[in-house]
Amino acid sequence: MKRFLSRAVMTISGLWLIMHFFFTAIYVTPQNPLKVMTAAVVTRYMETAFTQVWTLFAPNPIQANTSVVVQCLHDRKESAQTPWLDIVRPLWRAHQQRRWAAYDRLSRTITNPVRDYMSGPADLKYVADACQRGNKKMCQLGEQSLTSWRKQSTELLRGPVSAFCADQARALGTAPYRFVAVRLNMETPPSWPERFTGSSKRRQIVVGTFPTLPIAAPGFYAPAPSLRAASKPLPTPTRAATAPLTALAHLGGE
Amino acid sequence: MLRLESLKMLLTRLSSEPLHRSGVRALQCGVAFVMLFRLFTEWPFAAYLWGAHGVGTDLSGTIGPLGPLIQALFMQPWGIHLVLLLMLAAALMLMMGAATRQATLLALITFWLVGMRNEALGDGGDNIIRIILFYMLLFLPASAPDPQGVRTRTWLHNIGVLAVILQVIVVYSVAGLSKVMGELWTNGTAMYYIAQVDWFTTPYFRELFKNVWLAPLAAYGTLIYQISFPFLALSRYRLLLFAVGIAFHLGIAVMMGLITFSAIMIALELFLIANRDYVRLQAALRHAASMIRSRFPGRPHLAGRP
Repeated sequence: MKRFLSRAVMTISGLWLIMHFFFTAIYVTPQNPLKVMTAAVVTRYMETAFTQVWTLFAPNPIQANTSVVVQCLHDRKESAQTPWLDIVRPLWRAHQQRRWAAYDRLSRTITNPVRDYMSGPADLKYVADACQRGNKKMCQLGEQSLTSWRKQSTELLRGPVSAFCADQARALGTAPYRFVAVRLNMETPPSWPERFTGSSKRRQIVVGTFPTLPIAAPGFYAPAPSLRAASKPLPTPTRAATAPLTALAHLGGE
Repeated sequence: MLRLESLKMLLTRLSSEPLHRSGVRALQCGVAFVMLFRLFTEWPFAAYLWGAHGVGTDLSGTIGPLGPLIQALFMQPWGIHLVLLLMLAAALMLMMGAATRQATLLALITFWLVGMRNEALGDGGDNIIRIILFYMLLFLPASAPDPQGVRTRTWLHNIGVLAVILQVIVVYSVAGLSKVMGELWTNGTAMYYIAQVDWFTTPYFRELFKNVWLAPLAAYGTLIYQISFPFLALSRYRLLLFAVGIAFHLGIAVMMGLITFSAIMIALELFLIANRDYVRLQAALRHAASMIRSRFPGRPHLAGRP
C-alpha cells in the first residue's frame, strides 16, 4: 500500500509539472490560435495563482516620463489660482538619491496605474490591428475595452492623489480638500540622433476632476509653498502632532 | 532504446538524489533578503500602502469566502502590522534555515496578502517570488539530511527544483524573445531611452548611455544574454553564464534602483548552480586562498611571545 501511494504521488506530481509548464508556455506566448482556443482553461488555471508577465522593457521600453500633476480643490471647478503640483517627480528624485529606501514603491502606487491608463489592456494591440483592417465590431470592442480599462486605472489613481491632498491639507491646516483635478504630464526625451542637440517634447493629458477618497494623510509629502500661498488656513490649525517621516520637496506642474 | 535507458536513469536520479541543496539555501536566503528589505523600507508607510484608510484594494469580492475575512483583517488598525510581523518571522526563519517548510508557507501567505491588497506596488521581482514560493514548498527542510535510497520526499524536492529551473527559463526566454520584436532593442538604442526615464535612472546614467558604443553594447548584450540563457544554462559554460547574470543584475540594481528585483534574480542565478559546482567552487576558492597565503606570507606567528 505504501509503495502504491508513493508511486501515485510521484506520478501525479510528475504529470502536474509537465501540464503546469505546458500551460505556462501557452500563457506567456503572444496571441496565437492555440492560446485563443485554450484560453478558457489555461487562463483560468494560470490566473488562480500563477499570473505572470515577463515582457520586461519589451517589446520596446517606456520612452517618456509621465508624471501626475494635481490641483487640490475645495470645489469641483478647477481654479486658476490654485497651483498644479507634480506629485511623482519628488518621489523619483528621492529614489535617485536614496536607492535603499521605499521611494520606488511609493511612486509605483501612482506610476503603475498611470502606465495602465496610457497603455490600455495587453490584448488591445490585437483588437486595434483587427480594427485597422476594417473590422468595425473590433473597433467598438476596443473602444469599450479601453474606456473600462481607463476607468479602472483612474479609480486606482484616485487613492494616491487623494492622499497627496490630505497631506497638503494637514500640513497647511486647512479643511480637507473635497476634489482633486488630475492631469498627466508627458515628457518625451529627444530621439537618439538628436540626443546632444534636441530637447524634450512635452504634452499634457487631462484625466479629470474627482471627489477625493477618505485616505489618511501619509505624511511623506512636504507642504507645497505655492499651495500654502494660495490656501486660507483654518482659525484653529489641525496640524498633526508628529512630524512627517520624509519631507519631499515639490515641483510646480506647469 | 538508448533514450529509454537515459530517461530511466534520469527518473532514478530524481527519486534518489536531492538536487541543488546549496542552491536551495541561496534561494531561501534571497527570498528572505527581499522580504526583509521590503519590511524595513515599507513598514513605516504600512498604514498608507495597506491600512484601513490607505490606498489598498477592497478584497471583499475576491478570494472566494475568505475575501470578507481578509478584508476585515486589513480594516483593523493592527491588521497590516500583524501580517507584516508574520512576514518578518517567516523571513528570519528562512534566512536562518529554521523550519523552512513552515516558513515558506508563512512567507507565501503573507507575501500574497500584501501583494493582493496593493497590486500597484508590485514589480517583476514580486511576481516571480509569488510563483516560486509555491514550488519552494516542495523543497526538503534545510536542516534535513539527504534521504537515503528511493524516497518520495526526494522526488518531490526535485520536482520543486525542476519547477524553479523551468520558471527561470520561462522568464529569460519571454523577456528575450519579446525584445527581439521591439525596434529599439534591435536598433541598439533601447538602453539610451531607458536611461532618459527618471523612474529608472540617475543623472549620471542619463549621460553615460548617450555614448555611441555603450548604448548598443548594453542593448545587444542584454538581448544575447536573455535569448541564449535557456541553451547555455545546462551547458559547460553555465558558471560563466551565471556570473554574467549576477553582474547584469547588479548593474540593474545600481542603474535602475530595482533592488528587490535584482536581488531575487541574483538568488535565482545562485540557485541554478548545482551541488557539484558549489563543491568545485569551494575547492577553487580554498586553492586560491592557499596560493595567496603562500605568495604573501604574513608576519611570524606571535602566539606565545612574552
